[in-house]
Amino acid sequence: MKKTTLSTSIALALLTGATAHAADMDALLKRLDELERRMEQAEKRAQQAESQAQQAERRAQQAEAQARQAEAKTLQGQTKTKQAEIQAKQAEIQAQQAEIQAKQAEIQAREVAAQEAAKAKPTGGPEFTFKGYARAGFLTDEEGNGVKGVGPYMTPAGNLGGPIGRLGVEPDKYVEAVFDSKITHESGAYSKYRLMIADGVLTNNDWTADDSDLNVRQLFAELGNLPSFAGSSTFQDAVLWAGKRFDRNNFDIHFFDSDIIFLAGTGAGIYDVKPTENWSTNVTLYARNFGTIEPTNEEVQSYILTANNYVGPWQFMLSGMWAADNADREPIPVTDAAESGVHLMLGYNQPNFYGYSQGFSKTGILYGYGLGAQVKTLGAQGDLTSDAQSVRVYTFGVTPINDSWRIAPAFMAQYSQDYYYKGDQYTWASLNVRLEQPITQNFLMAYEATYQYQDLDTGANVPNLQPNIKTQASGNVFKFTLAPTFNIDTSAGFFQRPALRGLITYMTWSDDLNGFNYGQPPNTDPQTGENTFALTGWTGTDHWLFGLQMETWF
Amino acid sequence: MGKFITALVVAVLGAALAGCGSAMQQTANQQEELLLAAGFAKKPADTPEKMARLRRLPLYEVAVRKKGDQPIYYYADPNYSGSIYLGNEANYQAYRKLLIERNMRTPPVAVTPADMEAEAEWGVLGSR
Repeated sequence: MKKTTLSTSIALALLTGATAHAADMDALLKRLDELERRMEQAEKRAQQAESQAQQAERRAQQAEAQARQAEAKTLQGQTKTKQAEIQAKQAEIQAQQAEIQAKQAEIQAREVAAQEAAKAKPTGGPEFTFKGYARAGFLTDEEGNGVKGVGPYMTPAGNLGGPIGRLGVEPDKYVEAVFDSKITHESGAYSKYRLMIADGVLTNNDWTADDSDLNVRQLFAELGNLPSFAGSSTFQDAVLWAGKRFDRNNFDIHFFDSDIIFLAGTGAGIYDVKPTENWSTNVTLYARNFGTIEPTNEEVQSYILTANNYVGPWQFMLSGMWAADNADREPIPVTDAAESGVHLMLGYNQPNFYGYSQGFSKTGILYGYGLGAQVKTLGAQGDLTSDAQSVRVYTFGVTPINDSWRIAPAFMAQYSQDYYYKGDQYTWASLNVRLEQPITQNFLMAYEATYQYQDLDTGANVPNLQPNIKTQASGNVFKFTLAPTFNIDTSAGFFQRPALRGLITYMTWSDDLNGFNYGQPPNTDPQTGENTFALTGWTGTDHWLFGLQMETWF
Repeated sequence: MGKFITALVVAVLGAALAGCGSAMQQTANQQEELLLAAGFAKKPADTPEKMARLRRLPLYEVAVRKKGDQPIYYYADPNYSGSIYLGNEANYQAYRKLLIERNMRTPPVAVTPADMEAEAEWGVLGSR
């Protein structure tokens, strides 16, 4: 019922039904008016409440609609994301498949091109190749100064070929550039000419002519697949060469920067002769020079004749060497210098890591007598006694541990006696471990730790022995290097280059090693007069090095 | 100082070697599962002679040798399964496809050492 109808009805009822006093009527009407006013207010409030409720309901409906829309969008987004992921994976697989097909096609194309080239060039135009090796970096000590006498052979045992790990101790700039020109003839025979130039300096400057060792280190020609040898099972694969070269079958422990065998010089040889199906041999003759005989100025020349044999995984190398009149050469510190020598090597090479895991490993033993007692660089050292003897063992390998780590341990040890002087005795042993930890596709952390033991005794037969000359030294060297490294693909293994490295090295050594100089006056600090560690100029027993380096080969 | 550093080096090396074994076994198991799925045939090296020859091959990586004009692919595992896995070109391509599907790196194929190429050296290990 509406408020006007109600008030009118009540008023009429009161007016018709009551003939009471006018004053009572007035009071009643006032109360009615008041009641009506309150009802109007209540009705307004009810309408406002109703309106608010409707607004709230609308808002709730809107919110619900928005929530539904959002939910729908989320679902759409998830669906789209999943679809995109699937499409991306499919695209990736297709790309990889395409890459494989492209590589296969490339290989086939190269084979076809090579076949066509062979057909098209019956006289085999020159094939030119360029290969190289380079490293360039600098090292600084704690005070920001450059360093000298630092490298893998920086310890007292380094004189005898005892290395420490090379990472973080190479401040030199060394480059090799190898240029080959190969001509293949219609018969299949080929000739190859090689020129290799090299240079090494310590200075960081760009103009280095005053310090340069720029030099031709190899210059030779070789002939292979010769028709004259065809049909002979022994010689059909033989390669002839002559000139100045590094022997083809030299090999090294990269982490020590140490060749196991470094046979080089000027001479001639024949490779890949096969006396039996499983036996391959190389026979070479090299010449080197030791210096002149005064006052005749006659040049002392050493000769190294080598038979290097391979039977399965075994390598057996036998070398004889001689140097006429080497004992007459002056000045050399030794008396009764060797004029001949022998050298033997027995090696075992595996295409895996010691028969245990993926990688490779090499193990062997070397023995030398007389001129052969320099067991690494054959026939290259003339200041050895005629009774000099050395025996060296080595083993090293490379293997991945998992996708995140790989390891390369290396060990070498040597004992020598009557080497520089009759009665001297030298022992050293070097253990090096390099670890690499790929972090991303282009960044890895390299860690290297070296322990070297040395016990060095020149004996009493040092010429012009003075009281200040140290004839004995014994002790340890430790080296630790940390090298954050960038390269093109860190998953490709230890030998992926170029490598761009930062270097932090800490070295510590026994105090007894300071001042030992193989029977020569000790190296000392010019200011304090203290004995120094080999040629480094460092006193004390430890040192930090910091640096940067690039190393590459191809 | 020297003794401490020696002990530290020995400890680090020991830990590295201990971790090495289990990681390698896991990798080997994963590879062998893929090879079998690709159709490679598993042949146990069940005699000392076979095992000795197995250890002269490239280990834990797919390698190839030639048999006539056809390549034979193999994967040698002397330590965990004591077997060699042999496959032909189709098996190798299937293996590569599986690597790609699993987003795994496809390493280069190793080459059999020259002295192991001869059939007389290889024969005892069997062929596909």
